[in-house]
Amino acid sequence: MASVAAWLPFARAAAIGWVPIANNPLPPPPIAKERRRPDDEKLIVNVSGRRFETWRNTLEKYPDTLLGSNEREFFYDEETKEYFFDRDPDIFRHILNYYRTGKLHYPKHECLTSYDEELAFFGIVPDVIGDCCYEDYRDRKRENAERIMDDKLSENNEQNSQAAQDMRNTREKMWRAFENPHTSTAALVFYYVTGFFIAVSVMANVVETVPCTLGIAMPLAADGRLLSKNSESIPCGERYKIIFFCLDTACVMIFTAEYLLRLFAAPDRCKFMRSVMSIIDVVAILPYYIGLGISTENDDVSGAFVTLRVFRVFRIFKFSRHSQGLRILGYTLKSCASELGFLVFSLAMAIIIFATVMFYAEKNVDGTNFTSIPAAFWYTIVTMTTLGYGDMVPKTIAGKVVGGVCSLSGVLVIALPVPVIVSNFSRIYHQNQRADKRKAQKKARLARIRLAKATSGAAFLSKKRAVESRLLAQESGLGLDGDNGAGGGDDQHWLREEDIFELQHHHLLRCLEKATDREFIELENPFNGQPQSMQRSAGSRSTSPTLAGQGSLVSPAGNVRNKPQAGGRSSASSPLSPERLTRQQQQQHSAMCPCCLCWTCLPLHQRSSSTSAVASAAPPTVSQVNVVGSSSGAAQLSMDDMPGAPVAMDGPITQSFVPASGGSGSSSSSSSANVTIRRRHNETSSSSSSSPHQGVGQVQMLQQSASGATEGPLEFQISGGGQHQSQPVETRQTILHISAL
Amino acid sequence: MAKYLRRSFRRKKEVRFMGSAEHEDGDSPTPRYRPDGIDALCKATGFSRKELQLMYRSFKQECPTGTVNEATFRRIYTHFFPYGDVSPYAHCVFRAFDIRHNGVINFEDLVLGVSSLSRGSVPDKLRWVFTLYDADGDGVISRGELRDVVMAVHRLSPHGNLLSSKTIPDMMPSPSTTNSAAAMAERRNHEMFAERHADRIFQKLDINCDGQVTWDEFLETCTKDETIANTMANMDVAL
Repeated sequence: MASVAAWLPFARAAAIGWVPIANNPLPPPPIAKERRRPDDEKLIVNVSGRRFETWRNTLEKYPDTLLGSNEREFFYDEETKEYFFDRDPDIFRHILNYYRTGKLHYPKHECLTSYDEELAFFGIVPDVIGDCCYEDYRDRKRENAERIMDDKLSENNEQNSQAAQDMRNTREKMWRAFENPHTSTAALVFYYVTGFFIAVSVMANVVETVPCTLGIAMPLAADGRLLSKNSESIPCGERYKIIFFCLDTACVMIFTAEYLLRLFAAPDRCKFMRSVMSIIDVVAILPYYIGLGISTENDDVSGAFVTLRVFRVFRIFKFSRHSQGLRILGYTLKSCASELGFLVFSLAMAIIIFATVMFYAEKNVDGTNFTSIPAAFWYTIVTMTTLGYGDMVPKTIAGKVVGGVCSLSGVLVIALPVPVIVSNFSRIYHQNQRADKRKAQKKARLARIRLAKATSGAAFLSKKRAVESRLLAQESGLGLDGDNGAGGGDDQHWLREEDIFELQHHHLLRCLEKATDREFIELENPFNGQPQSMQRSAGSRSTSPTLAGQGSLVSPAGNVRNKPQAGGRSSASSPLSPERLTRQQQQQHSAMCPCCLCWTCLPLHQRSSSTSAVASAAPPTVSQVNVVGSSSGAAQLSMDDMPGAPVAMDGPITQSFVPASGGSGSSSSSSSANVTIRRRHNETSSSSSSSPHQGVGQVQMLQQSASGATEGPLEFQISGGGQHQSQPVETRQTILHISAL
Repeated sequence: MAKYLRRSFRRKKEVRFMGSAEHEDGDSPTPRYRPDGIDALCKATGFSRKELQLMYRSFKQECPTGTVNEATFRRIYTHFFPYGDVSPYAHCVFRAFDIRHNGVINFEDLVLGVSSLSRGSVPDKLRWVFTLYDADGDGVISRGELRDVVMAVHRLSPHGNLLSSKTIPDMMPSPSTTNSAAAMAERRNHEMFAERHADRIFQKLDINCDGQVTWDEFLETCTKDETIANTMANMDVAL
């Protein structure tokens, strides 16, 4: 700690004590330069408006952090002579305290991630958090990490399942159906059927022990009293043996079939066979088969047979697949094993002690129930749990005293571990609730986020358009001398700040275009059901971007859509059309395209160029989009949760785009998270009738989560109609259905 | 009551105890000490205001209560001599600074000590050194005392690990205290070296060979010895 450096003078002074005993003469002290101690000055650190002042020395205590090194000079503001940081001032307080006191504290009310970010920004390693706060910090960090991991895992699971859906073979599909009944109708049906049969089986077990007296004549005396009790009240099971047997057989058939199916579908059979649920399954059906095997003539064996029937009650545990609460309970008990163990152990101890004392106290009473210590166990248990059946009661005074103490201590011993178990259960249960709620809300949240992003993107675009129109006006209207703007005052300042930014942005994108020799516009190619290529050689451009005033390069928020599949094909400079694609390319495409749901891919796989391709063949999980083509050929987009779906039809239009990582997290596997649609008008605008609208379609389907939820943005497809003038405009209607499989 | 009156008449405020609240908590009340004004200290020690400010700021940073106890002292020394065993030497120095012998050093003691060591005359410095060596304060340095000091200084060095067989809990554990024969031999060697060193010094200091070194002998020897005198004169602790 560098503040200790301030003690160095004392230590050096004390070093004079070595002088007389030194063997060799001590070296002379270093000449202190006659400098005006620049250390002794104060620095002002301005963090988002809050000024902190400190000695330079204080900051330089830790030279490997931002503030202690010359990295802070980057933030030095010459005019105000202070260091300005645009960060959170509340957290900065703690960071500065670290310099002052040498201990970094973690404020419990702050969000962990934001705190971490601040630490990372200022170059402080979280390990220096003081002991007082370290535990808390670690705990929260772990919780966060777990939560994020859970989310990510489940997302990944969903995604993987989505992404490779078609690739799965039956086996995996079955497994998924088993694990998650909401994936398909069949799975749901299966789920309910098994649930029903479990219930039936359990009920049958229960009912078959009920004594049935139906059908046996009850002899009545003259005054209506029962003459003789029906001595033949046998349990229903005996009476309707056949029926129950059939029922049992049916249930066991179903269970066996289910078990075998699960075994077949399991990815890892050995692991599956070792899992708890499968053991329960086995235990549930085995007694039946064993019972079949054993004949009931032999008395001994029939005793065993009867015992086996007891195991049938384990079928009720099969319900835990159906009920999450049960699973949580089981998990809680498992995680509280030590508390439970403690409970059992302490109870056992107490039981033995009290039983012994009780026995010796009551030994000499005549006709006592306390015949042995084990016999007294029963009394002790009943008393400690405050049941008090009363079948065994002490008669001596000593016995009664002991009995009293026993019941009091029983209350205590049992009450101690219970809150621990309860709180564990509560914590796990709430975690689960939260996880479920988060998942459920996630989609809605994502949709909202996308909406927000889209609106900001739309704002961006409108600004862009405004800039372009301004530029256009400037170029065309004013000529070179822009000073005497005809427009008026504001014409003077053509290039406002944001305009400059826009200009530069545009320019950048333009450079990119030129550099990659790709256009971000789709031009005259008629859309006849074939996907338009996004890439085109520069030669066939008919309109130049921007300044043409018609539409513009749209790349909202910098997401320029390049076909993800482009990687598979080597620089396809020719438009992508099915007939041009070789088989090999097609295969390559299928291999690489994770979604294979996009409209572009559809023709590839279907090899059809039919215009009326209704994407019925589209794989499930496509959200619904209605594209209605109007007669004028303008394809109007209306999409669900396509926010700000611009619909301007006549003018240059629309872009709606979905910013890349709108979230559905899918981002990961490249599967085309972006979409940009663009539509371009030809210069020869107007002429609505024969409007040459070119539609563009690109679509990207973002894989939606398999749960048939429709949220997902994504997907849409559009295609504008429009061929060239001569041909009637094809209005295309494409409706992609979401089929919730 | 009378005690309070007596206290208030004293110029220098000594240890002030916290309010009764702390007493009820059962904690030992942390004595807080406020030094006298900076001007008085300036006059007494000859340091400038700026120097005193600097020293006090760092002092207060380390010891917010205003006093240093031996544990803190030891900890500070460990920072300067991380490789050795600082406790015996720190103990010696602490004792030397602790003028009132009450186990705590306050700021004034420190500053006075440092001022006499850095700005004082050679006899002053030697006087301080004499108190450093004289552990029991009886005015003479015995052979044992000198040996202790020499050993303490030796222990400060990285070889000090070999010498010390006991480790203070809050010290760095000496990595090289093994029980192997080689380590033992080495340790023995170092000890003998230190002892011989001590004996040599004692012989030099003890002019009349009576087994102890008095102040006058000490003063005489040290002023006569050229190197010692020069080094003493040169060691000015520049702040």
